[in-house]
Amino acid sequence: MRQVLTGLLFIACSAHAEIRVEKITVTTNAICSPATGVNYGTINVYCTDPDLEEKYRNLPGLTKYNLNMEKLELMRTHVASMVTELRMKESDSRVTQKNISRLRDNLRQTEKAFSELWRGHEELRFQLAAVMAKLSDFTQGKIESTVKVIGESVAQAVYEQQFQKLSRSLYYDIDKKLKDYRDDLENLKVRVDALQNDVSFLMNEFLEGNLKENVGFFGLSIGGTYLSSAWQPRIAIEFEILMPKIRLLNARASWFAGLSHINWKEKQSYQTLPGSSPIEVIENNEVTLLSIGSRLYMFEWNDELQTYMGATFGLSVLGEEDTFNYGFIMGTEYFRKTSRIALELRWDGFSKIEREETTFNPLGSATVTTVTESLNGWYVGIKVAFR
Amino acid sequence: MLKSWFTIVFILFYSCITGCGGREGSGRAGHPAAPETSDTTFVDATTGNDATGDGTREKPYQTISHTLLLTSTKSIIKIAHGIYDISIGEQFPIVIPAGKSLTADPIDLDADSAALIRGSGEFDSEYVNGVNTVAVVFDDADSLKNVVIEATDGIALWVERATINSEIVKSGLYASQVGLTLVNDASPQIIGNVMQKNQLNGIELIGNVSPIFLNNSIKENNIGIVITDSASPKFGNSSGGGNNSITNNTLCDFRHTGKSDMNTVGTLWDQDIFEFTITNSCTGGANIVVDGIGFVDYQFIPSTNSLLFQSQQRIRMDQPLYGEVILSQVPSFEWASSGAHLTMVMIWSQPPVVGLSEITSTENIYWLWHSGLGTGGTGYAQFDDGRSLQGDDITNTSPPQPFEKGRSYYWAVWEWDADGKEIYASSSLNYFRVSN
Repeated sequence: MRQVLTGLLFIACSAHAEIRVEKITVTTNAICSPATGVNYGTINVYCTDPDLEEKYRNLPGLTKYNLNMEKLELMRTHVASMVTELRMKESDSRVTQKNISRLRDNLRQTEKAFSELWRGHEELRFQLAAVMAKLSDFTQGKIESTVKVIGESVAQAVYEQQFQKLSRSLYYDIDKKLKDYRDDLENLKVRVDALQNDVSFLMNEFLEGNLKENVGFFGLSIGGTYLSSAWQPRIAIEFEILMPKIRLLNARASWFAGLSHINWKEKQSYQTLPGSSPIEVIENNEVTLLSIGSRLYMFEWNDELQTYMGATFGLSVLGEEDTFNYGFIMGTEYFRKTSRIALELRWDGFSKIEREETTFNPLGSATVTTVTESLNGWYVGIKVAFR
Repeated sequence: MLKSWFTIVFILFYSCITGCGGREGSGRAGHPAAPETSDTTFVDATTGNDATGDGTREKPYQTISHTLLLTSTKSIIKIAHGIYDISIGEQFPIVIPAGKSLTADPIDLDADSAALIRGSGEFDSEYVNGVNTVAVVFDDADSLKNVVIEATDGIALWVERATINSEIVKSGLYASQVGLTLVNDASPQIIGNVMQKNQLNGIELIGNVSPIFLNNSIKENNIGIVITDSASPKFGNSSGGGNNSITNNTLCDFRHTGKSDMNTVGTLWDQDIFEFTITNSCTGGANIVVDGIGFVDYQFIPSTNSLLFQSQQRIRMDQPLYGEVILSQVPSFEWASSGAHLTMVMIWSQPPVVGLSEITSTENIYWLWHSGLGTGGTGYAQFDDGRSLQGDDITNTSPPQPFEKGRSYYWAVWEWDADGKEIYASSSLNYFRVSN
């Protein structure tokens, strides 16, 4: 009499550590009942005849199956662990190459285990296929005699035949799970690669002298230079390239090119007629500079904060003519996963700045003279950089 | 005797200081001394010695004539204050040759001290027939500065040759027969000098001379200036008055017997320019006498069409009206203001010299009012609201002095833009006369 047996398989099948419950229906006879899934998806067989049950349980195929399932469970645990670790690193701005390397090693080992498991699973499938081919004539109800006549191998075959539908379902399930894990591992590799592109990762690599190739950043600076007794707003864009460590100088350096604009407003006050209030006028001196420069990253306070020094040289391209600009830079930078933000202090000098000086003339038009002078002052600004 | 001379010198230079408004330092104590460089040879009538001196400051020569004979004499001959006459061995005439400058420190009023050359000798000019009695001959020299010259029986200074770069500056040509004679084609700049009390002429211009006269005072001579032949002196014009003063000469101030036309606008005469006419008889203290064929332009009548300054808006002048003869010496002024907050009203005793964007002459500002004074109002100012200018510094003013009767004055109003940089509104140059 055929009996419908329902087994529940509880198999963790997701790389994201999510538990998915699957219900598998298998059909067998009344002599023995396989109960599945009670322990991580392994199969236990229960028979009315204890000897037969013992034989079933000791059947190599079943043992191997269970062994594979255990390995699969181990891999599931391992993958889940890796996912957790990756998540932590993804949210950790201080992740370094060293951390990623360890994760990569784990990934490689897991891939290796996956390959071995896959191979074992293929072998088992091959073995089952061969046995079932030999016992294609066996019929239901002759199991016991068959076991006695042809011994254990036949009994195994009978068992396999008896449970072939179950086996197919189960092996199909293992197939599926293994493929899922393979996909999960691939996904893991992609995410690790993405993690390596994070700003904080790159900055840590750069500061530890491990950068292997140039890395470019776009930066935007906003600040003010104190000139002509007032803060003159200055905005700049720049492209900075972090270079691999210069071994000879043991230096971590970058170079940059940028365009900056200073809206230079100068308040002038001059006397007019005696007794009249002085006249105040605001003179606009727009200066746009094309600059190049270099930064030397010198002090790493921690995995998120570092200080650099540098120099920049520029030439006016708009506004003031032929003004040579030079600057000595010092900045402290805080960097996170996606951006860098720096407080930059800079000694800003200009070789030639023209300004108008007005001298009131009571006997006619004022004398307006253009005075050319070198000027310098402090710049304070904030720089934000992105990859 | 010396004291009396210094008194004369004092009067002479004081007149210059107060009357002719020289462009350089007035010569009072504390003003910069004449330059002393390595190109200077020193002469001192009192402490110098021609025999033992070497021309240095420490060992100066004593006489100018001796110094000029030496080949070692440098380009600048600086004479100390004192009297240079025959009593110390000076030989006349003293001829200042090409490339040399005769200079002295400005007269020291406090000490009644000056460098005085007194005497004369015969000089045979290349250009004028006959022998002339002359004290100093300027013969293509570079300059003569701060020197007082007297030749009681002759000509104080004879200019035989001079280019336009030559200068005769702040010197006194005093109590001679003739103060200054220029011949041939001499064309020096004659600036800030006084020609006073000469028995014949203060100045004689002979031949083709074309000197430039600026800020000189020619007064109390028998005749102030005599112009002959083709001489064509420049006394300034409407765009650049020479600011010379030719007054109180016995027969006449200005006698033109030559051929050239000339312009004397900007000259101060005994009478207002609108009070007299040119005559042909040099008698009775006439102002301008023309008995040659040349023409003299002496009146400046400003145009009402053009503005004093190029500006966006014209300021109408309501009182006094253009050319009006007013009775009051303390008149009020009214104009149609543009509303700008910086306004200037200025009145000159001579036509102002207006450059491209400013008035370049400050010598003859007689009265001014401006919005910074806090007096008057928009478009009007009473006489007492204004100030008189002391020197050329607009911050240095004094209470206003009433206008002189019988004199003409020029006046204008201008206003600046809000920045005080450009003239936004301007009137034309106007004039009025204070009635006798």
